[in-house]
Order: sequence, then structure tokens, then C-alpha cells
Amino acid sequence: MPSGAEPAPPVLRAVGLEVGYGLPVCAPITLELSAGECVAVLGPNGSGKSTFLLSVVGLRPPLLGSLEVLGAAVDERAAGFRTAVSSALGDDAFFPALTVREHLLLTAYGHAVPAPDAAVDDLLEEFGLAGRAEALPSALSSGQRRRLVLAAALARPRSLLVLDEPEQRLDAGMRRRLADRLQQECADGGAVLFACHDAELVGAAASSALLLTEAAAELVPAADGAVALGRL
Amino acid sequence: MTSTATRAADRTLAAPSGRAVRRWTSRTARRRAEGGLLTLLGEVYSAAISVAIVAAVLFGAAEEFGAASLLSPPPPDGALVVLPLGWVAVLLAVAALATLLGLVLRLGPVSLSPPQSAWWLPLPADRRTLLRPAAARWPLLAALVGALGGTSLALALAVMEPVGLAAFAGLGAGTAASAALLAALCQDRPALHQWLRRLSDTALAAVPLLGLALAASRPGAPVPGVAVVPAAAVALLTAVGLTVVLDRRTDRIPHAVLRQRGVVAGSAWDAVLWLDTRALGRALTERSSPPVRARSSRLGWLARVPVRARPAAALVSADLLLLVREPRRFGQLAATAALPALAAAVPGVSPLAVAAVVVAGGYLAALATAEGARQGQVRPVLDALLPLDAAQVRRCRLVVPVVLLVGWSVLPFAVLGWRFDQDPTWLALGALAAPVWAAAAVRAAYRPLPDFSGPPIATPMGPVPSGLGTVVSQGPDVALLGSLPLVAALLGVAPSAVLVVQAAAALAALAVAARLPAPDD
Repeated sequence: MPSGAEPAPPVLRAVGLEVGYGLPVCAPITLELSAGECVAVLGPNGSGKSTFLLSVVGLRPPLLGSLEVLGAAVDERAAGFRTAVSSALGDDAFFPALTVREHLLLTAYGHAVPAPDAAVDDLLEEFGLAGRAEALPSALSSGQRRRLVLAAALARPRSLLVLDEPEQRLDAGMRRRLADRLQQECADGGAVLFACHDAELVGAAASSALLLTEAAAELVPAADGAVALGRL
Repeated sequence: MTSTATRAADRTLAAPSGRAVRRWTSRTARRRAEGGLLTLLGEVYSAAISVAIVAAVLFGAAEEFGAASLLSPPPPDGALVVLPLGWVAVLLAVAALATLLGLVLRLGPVSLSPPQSAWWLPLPADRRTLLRPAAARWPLLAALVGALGGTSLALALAVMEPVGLAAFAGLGAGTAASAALLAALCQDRPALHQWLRRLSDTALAAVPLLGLALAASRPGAPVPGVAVVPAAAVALLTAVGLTVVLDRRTDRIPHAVLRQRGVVAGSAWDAVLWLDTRALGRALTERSSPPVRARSSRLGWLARVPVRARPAAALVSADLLLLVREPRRFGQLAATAALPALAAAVPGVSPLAVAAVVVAGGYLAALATAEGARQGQVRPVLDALLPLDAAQVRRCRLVVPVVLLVGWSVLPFAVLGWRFDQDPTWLALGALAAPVWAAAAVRAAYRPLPDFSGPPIATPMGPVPSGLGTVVSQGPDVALLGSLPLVAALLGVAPSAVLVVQAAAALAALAVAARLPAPDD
């Protein structure tokens, strides 16, 4: 941990942030996310949750306002940013000739994870992919592909974990294990930002919730967010 | 599960290089690849043979072009516009360069496939070595195309000595590669990239108009001078310099750009494999209009249409708005309108060549007006939005192309009438030929995709699906057959003698385009 008089910057800081495709898709967002916190991004379909996450990971430039990760402006081209930010945004693209295990090994190896084989074995077990470790992506179900993407986001070092609707295509047991995983992530000092439609997952994992609508972007306690989700 | 993965900020990483990541991926994938070294050698051999065949055909045609330009007669006395054949070759070369630049700008030129973007770009590996092959791909291809094009231009200008041919090849290779490298260098600046794309599109559309302006100045035949050698040296040196600059800047290209261009390239490649020019056009069309218009059209004129006719009027209005809001379509109409005049300005040009240019120009102009039909084909729900049956929708889709093409025909056919004995009958002939091209464009828009499930037929180019020719030719077939009366007039038959036949051909073409396919088609 850095030492000295200056406090460490928040993992994520957004001030008056407007995101969208030429036009803003939601109200300006102001948010600070510190290490050990988990914020769920909630809102109806089309409220800008995914667009906000795309901007956080540097895949869509903000329209207005400022956005910083670990005290620096978002620039996904910087190796430091890519080391710090891990994401699973629903991309469903795989190398057709690489197996499940090899996709995870590529991620672990590319991030210089110590003992990548052991780390990958653990993840395969945790995400119920051990029986499919040597399968090619074309042989996977949509749920298995989803689990592979989530496992890849966890197969590497990170300070900020960004997930877009991680509960999609997961069964109830896997959702519970995911909630435990996100809690553990925060306990280990990581920060999590995830868009979600599942009130149970929000209640179990999030420390607070960002409610997005066209009129306002409001930070509320996680329990209130879970209740609001039921009303959407 | 270990928790070693968290707290990246506390770790000092020794991440592998981009080159190592690339090689690890390809080495791992190769382990279960079906083909080995022999397959690779076979593919290289096939590619080399294909290039050799293209070069032989191109060079042969260019040589004939050069011989014809040497033999072309002097322009007739008093001719207002004269364009020696050599200048046509130069204009074709400029058009080819603009097309190449437009293509590489749309396809990247630096891009990664979706899996490569998803799994490589989040790694902290250096992008300079990661992207090196992706960055080299298009400049190398452009250099090859440029060398072939440059040599063809030299032959078309009747340059035969080896030094001259080599200089033209070098000029072509250097210029085309520099254009591709320049396009790559703009990829981290969206505004500049868009400006360059518009420039290449405008340059392509302006080539026929430029040709007309050139013809009006009655230039002599272009004579390749000794300046070609230093120009080639400058072009090649520029390409080398830009290569060095690009290699140092590939790490500035954003992830989103690399991924989006890869998606476009993938869609374009799929369209080529499916032989679907409509999908290719869609893949290469950039959405450059602003996200908000100053105001929405109130469609007030529809209120004045009788209620029974309003659904049809609404559909026609939608087609018209689609066209009006794509200004580049008007560039296509203007450029194609100049083609017949340009052909007629070449001294000694064969009537058959003029006829080919007129028919091709008319069909290309019609394609610009049939976007509504193309959208309807790819999204059938659009055709089902209004209370019209499918046959009525098909007839409505013909309205905008027919009306616009009839208007479009006035200028080129006035020029042809002036060129051929100042006979105003040509205007009427043009107005009767225009619906043929409009109908052909709508027929092409609604053509089905080739059926790849049938048994393939062996051809010299490899196996092709049965019935492929029937599908791909839908549209051009009507344009060609329906234009035969016009072609006869261009070959010497009196225009007044073919007017009735042309009118019948137009009606037949419209009937064919309006016909719905059988349900099991």
C-alpha cells in the first residue's frame, strides 16, 4: 500500500460524467468507489448501465465530465490501466482453436500470474468447467461460455473488477457462489462495479447501489437498491 | 480458489511481450490445426497463382489499351470536348487509388478479429509488437495492388522499356502503400479518419467530373516523362518513412477502434464469401450522420393525399427521406451522369464501348436510388409495417428509383443527343431506358441469397454452389436485356426506330421487378 501524507486516490472517481452515443443515455453520474467497496449499477433496460461500464473500462469515451481510475484519467491503452482493471462485459468472442483451459491460461500467462496452471485449475473447478476444460468454445453451452468469460476476469490481477450483468445465464447455485466471490473480492481489498438485474445478488454482494434513470443518477444503500430493483 | 489475483496495484509485473502472446496463441492453436506445412504451402501457391493470373489479364488489357491509344485518330475539328485515351487510363488509376484508400479506411486498416480483441487487448502486453502483423497486412497488400496498377498504367500509356515499367510499378506501390499507412496513422484520431474517408469518397465521385473538365480543356495525350523515376523514389521513401512512424504509434490505436474495424472486416469478408454485394455495401457504410437532427419532418404532405393512398404515399416518402438524408447518393448520381459524356469525348472510341459505359452508368445510378428496397429485403418487418400487401409494397419501392432515374437521364442523354447528330429523340430514349435500370436495381435489392446447401459445381475457379449465377445475376440481367434497344441505337440504328421497343422493354422490366417470388423460392 502506498504510504505518506496523501491519502490513496479512490479506485474509481466519476464527476458529472455523461455517457452515451452522441447523446447522453442517462443523467450525469458522480461516484467514488474505494478499495473494498462493491457498487451495483441498477436501472431499467436502456438506462445506460452498460454504456457507463463501457466508459469505465475505456471502450467508450465520455461525452462530458471527468472519469479517473486509480487517480489517472481512463486510458485503456496504458499497460497500468489494463493491469488494474478486469472486466467481463458480455463479449462472446473466443479463439475457435483454443480450449477452455487454454483461454484461461492465455489470460493468466499474459498477466504473469505466478503458477498459472494451478490458478487455472482452481478456476475451472470453481466455475464448474473442469469437465469441459479441454473443450473448444464451439462445444460449450451459452451458460458455460458465460462462466468462462467470468472465470477469465478472475484469472488475473486486478484492483477494479467491472462486470455487466454477471448473473445472466447462471443457475441459482452459481449465482450464490458468485455473490460469495464478490464479497471475497472486497474483503481482499479489491473494488467491484457491476450492473445487475438480480435483487438477491445485489443484496448479498453490494455495499451500495447506483440507481440510473434518465432524470437522475443516485447512490443509495444496497438494500434500498434491491428494493428499487423489484419495482422496475 | 486462491486470492492471489487481486490487488494489481501492489504487484510488479513482468508481463510477456505482445509478440510472445501472439506466438503463444498461434502455436497453441496450431497444435490441433488440421492442415500442416503442406497445406500452408498449397495456400501460398494458390495465392501466387491467383496474383499471376490477375496480373496477366490486367497487363494484357492494359497493353491493348496502350496500342489503341497509339492508333486513336485525331479529334474531329470543332469538337468541344476531347479526352485522349491515355487520360482515361490516368483517371482510372486515380479512381482505383481513391477506392483503395476508401476501402482500407473502412476496414481499419489496423484491426483485430473479435476473439483477438477480447482476449489479447486486455493484457498488459505491449501493443507495438502485438499489432505488428495486423499493421503490416494492408500496407503490404496495397503495395502489391499498387505495383500491379502502376505497371498497368504504364502499359496503357504505351510505356514499354523496363526502366519505365519499373518506375511506374514503384510509383504505384509507394503511393498505394503510403495511402494505406496514412490511413493507419489516422486511426487514433476519429475526426481526421472521417475527414480522410470523405476525401477519398469525394475524390472517387469527382473522377468523372474531373474527366469532363479535363476534356473541356482539350488536352493532348499524356506523355510519361523522366519525372516518373524520382516520383517513384519519393513515393517509396515516403512509404518506408511512414512504416517507421506507424510502427512507433500502433500502441495509440484504441481498443474500441481495433475491435470495431475487425467486426467490419469480418462482416465484409462474410459478404464476399456469400457473394452478397448488398451486405458488403452495408458493412462498408459508415454511419456519419449526427445523432440528432435539427428537426423531424412533419410529413405534412401526406395529409393532402387521399386516405386510401396514404399507406403507399408513406412508403414512397420513407424511401425518399432515406435518399435525401444520404447526400453521398447524389454524388453517385452526378458521377454516373458524367460517364456517358466522358465516353463520348474519347476520339475514335468504339460505339460498343460507349454503350457499355452508358448501361453501366445507368445501372450504377439506379443502385443509388434503391436503398429503400435493400433495407426492406434485409429487414422484412419494414415492408410489413403498413397496410399494404407484398405486391403493392414492391410496386411502391419502384416509384423513387423510376422517377429519379428518369430525371437523371436528361443530362447524359442530352449530351448523347448532341454528340449523335443533335437528335432530341435521344432524350425520349433515355427517359424510356431509365425505368429499366430502376427496375433492375429493385430486382437486385430483393434477390435471394445463394443456396449453399446444394451440390457444388466444379469450375476452373474451384467449386461453386449450383444456381449461383442465376442468383448473382438478378438485377444486372434485366439492366442488360432491357437496354438492348438503346444499345442498338448507340450502335447505329435510328433512335426513333427503337423507341417503341424500348418502351416495351421498360414495361417488361418493371413487371419483372414488381413480381413476387413464389412462396417456395
